[in-house]
Amino acid sequence: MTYPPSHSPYPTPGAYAPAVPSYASWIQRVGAYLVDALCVLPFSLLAAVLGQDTDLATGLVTYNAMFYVFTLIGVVVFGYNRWFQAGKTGQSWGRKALGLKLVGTGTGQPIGAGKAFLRDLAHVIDGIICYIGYLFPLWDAKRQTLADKIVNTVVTR
Amino acid sequence: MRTFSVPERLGGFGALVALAATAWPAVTAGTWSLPCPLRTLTGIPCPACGLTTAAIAIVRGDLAGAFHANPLIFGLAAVTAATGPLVVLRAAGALKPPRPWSSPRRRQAGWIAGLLATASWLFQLHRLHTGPQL
Repeated sequence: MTYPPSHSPYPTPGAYAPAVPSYASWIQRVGAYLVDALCVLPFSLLAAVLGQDTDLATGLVTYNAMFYVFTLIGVVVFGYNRWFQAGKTGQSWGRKALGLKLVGTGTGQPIGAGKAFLRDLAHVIDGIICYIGYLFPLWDAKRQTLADKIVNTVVTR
Repeated sequence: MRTFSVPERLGGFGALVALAATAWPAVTAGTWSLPCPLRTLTGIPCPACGLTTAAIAIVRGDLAGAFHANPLIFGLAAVTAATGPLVVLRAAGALKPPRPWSSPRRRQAGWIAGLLATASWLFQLHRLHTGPQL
């Protein structure tokens, strides 16, 4: 955080100017996640449309092989995008579209696939407290979610 | 574009909530709301419990219903209502741009948020009959 110099008679333009590094805003991160989710949506839809039947005798929903095939493809695409690629380069497709990067707090470097996976796993903590963890970037100084704090990451732009 | 202050960001979030709360009932038609993971898993509500219901009630003008579900929604509504004029006045130069809060003030705000969350939790435990009856 930079304060305007005390000797200046006028507020310095951008008194709230982001210090280096500049952290991604909450809405940008939501946007990036939505793009990532959109990449998987076709497979989820195919799994739902082609993979589900209704048992005529009981009226219950049944799942056929297509359901598991498309769900698996969805998981693989999601994992490649958000864990492998984002771990290696810092950018999932969504973050690339929004110009954001996921890096380690201390290193400023991409965090690797394993840690990117752990970070998404840690998002459970963000969700379990009624999703409040996902709102942390609205007020947190480093714009981190709880998952970011756990695995020591920040999202920069 | 300048970086928005924390209250302004919360106000922007509140505006999104108001939009969603207006649109949500139109698409779902039912009373289904976001499932609370903590309550689903443990049966215990969290301080934010009832906020979806409260947000939908407040945009419909049902203030009593909103208060009954989660009074915190009035805080978000107040911040949201103040943010629009604040941003406009700051953009017009009538008000100074926001300055980062001092460290003690941040700590104070953290304490107030913590106390509010605790009060809200007690309210929710009482409302949903999972804790000691107050």
